[in-house]
Amino acid sequence: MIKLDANIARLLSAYFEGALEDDQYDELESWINANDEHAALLIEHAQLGRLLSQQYKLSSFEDEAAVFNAEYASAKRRMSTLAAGLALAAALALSLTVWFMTRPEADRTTLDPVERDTTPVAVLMETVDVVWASNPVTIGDNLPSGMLRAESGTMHVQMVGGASVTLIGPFEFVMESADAARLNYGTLRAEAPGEAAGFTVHTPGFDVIDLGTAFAVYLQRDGGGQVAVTQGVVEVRSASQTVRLVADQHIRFTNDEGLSAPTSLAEAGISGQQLPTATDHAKVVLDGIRLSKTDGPGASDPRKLYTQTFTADPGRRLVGIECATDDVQDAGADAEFGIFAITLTTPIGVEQAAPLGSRVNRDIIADAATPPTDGGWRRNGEYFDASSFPASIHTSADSEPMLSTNNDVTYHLVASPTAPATSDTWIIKVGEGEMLEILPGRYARVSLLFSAVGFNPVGPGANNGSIILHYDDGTTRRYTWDLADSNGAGLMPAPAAP
Amino acid sequence: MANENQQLRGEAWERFTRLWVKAQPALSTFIATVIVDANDAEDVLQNVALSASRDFDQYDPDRPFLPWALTIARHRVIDHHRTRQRRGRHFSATTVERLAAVCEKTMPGAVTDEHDRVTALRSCVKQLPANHQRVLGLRYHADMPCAKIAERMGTSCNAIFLMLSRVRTKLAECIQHQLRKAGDT
Repeated sequence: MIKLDANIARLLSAYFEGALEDDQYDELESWINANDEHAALLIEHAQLGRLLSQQYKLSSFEDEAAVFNAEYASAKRRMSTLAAGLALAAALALSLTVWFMTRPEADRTTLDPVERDTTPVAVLMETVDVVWASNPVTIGDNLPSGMLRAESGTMHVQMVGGASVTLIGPFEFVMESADAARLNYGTLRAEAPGEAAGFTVHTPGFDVIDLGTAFAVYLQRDGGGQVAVTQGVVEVRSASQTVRLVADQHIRFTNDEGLSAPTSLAEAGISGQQLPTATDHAKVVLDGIRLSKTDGPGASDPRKLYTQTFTADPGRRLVGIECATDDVQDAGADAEFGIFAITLTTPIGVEQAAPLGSRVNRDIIADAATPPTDGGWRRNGEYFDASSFPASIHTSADSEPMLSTNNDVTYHLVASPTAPATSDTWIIKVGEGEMLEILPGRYARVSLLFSAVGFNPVGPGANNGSIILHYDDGTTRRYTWDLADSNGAGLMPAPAAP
Repeated sequence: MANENQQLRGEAWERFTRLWVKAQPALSTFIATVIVDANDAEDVLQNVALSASRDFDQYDPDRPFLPWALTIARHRVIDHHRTRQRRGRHFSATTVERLAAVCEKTMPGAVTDEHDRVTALRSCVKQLPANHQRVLGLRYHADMPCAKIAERMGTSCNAIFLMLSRVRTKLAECIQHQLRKAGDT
């Protein structure tokens, strides 16, 4: 390694601090151009500076308490001036979080890492499977202002100002004061009863001010997001607009278009108290999926779509769903299930669409505008948008068929970022004894949008098929579908498997 | 936004993302070398990502990605310098090109390399004497300008400049030592 003389050492630092005079610039530049080793040394210092900034801002060097540092409380995220970069950024965000790290504009007069404000602003009430990306905290901890970042899991904090906040990872959450916080990305649900009114959630693009209510914010890493209000009133403010939302209203924010007009939760495809996981992907609307078999027995039968919600065990990790016909009496050879969409509900009530697994046999049981010619399948990388699938409306106590008698339905198809969307339509057949693999996770409820074809139960109590939830510890829970008219009512939970 | 994403889809998008993630540490470092304002550097990095994804069909997959992306980065940096001319001096285009060339030669390209480097950096910082840790904290954590750091530490700005360079040099040596040690085992 070459030895730095004091003069060049000073010039290097002054350069990185933006403090070089013109003649010093000339001097540094000719030193750099004198040989590649010098250039490499400048690069090495730049790299170190970059990593040091990054690591210090991630508080990696700080002790546990220091994460909750007054500096973060006063950090103001600079709005990106590059709207054009954001579309791309949204897609790259997952792997390139460094772009979206907060850019604290430190308060240059008062900051000192030694002088920290440790006044608690919140208490950590509960964590479920949290994988911390910031220094970990434990239940019961008094939390001073500061940042918490998690890769996954859920966390519940009680703000000193009275608001109760739940976060679902991945998230980056900065507690600013007893009644204000900043969400940089992630899903947040807040309940702020009367005395906690005024609780404010800042995001890079908009602020949500609670006026005594319950609401949820889903924020993507690019700053785009959604707010859903389930009770009371909130005010949503962007740079140019202020919108009041009342219960059962929803609004979207994008960097390009700002705030949308408010819609009802139902119009937004959000059911009840829940906020779906937003997708970043383009949506293609499929009109007129006609559900009928194209050939074989039952080809002329119009088929119905059903939804059913099952209680899952959030204590265990769900890995798959099986639609079984092994216990169906007199099942025709054509007895089969078709699953259109799965919505999984996390223990704290956030719905997420589950991309369906790919390792299942697929067969077509429905007409499409252009039927697939190679045996029937669902195009890899695409799945139906379960956010428009009002799972919680249809429970086992109330399971109306989804479709009217003409069997036409409009559904959204969500393209994954890795596969092109097309206008075809497919339905998965889940073969006998096959498990539909899902992304493993802990869920409170599993909602299916499905069809069933060719079930011929005989007599009362005859099973019409089963839906079996598989957990990663090898245990299962079977629900039998027991009704003659295949209308989905009477789906009975079996006793939990040991 | 959907339309923009559609410009690069499917496998091409996946391939681009993979290559980009690998090249990004080197690109970030190159940009940080020639644009010292961190916010400006981030903006330029975003522009480079955008240009690279738009022109990805022009990238020859048989050649390494980093030099291709560095060419784009070099252009974006020079554009940036041109538009920010009034905000002060910057390196000449020749120097920028030279630095890009050296970057290409010397920079580790993979995220895993960066990960190891960060791990080493963290342990090296902990080995520094207290006053060195303090100057790093004031500079990189509290984001203080030199004058403020000098005031806190009871010294001059020039002395702080010297100290920061010395500390970085020490860290660089320590990191190289640790990476070599890890490579040997």
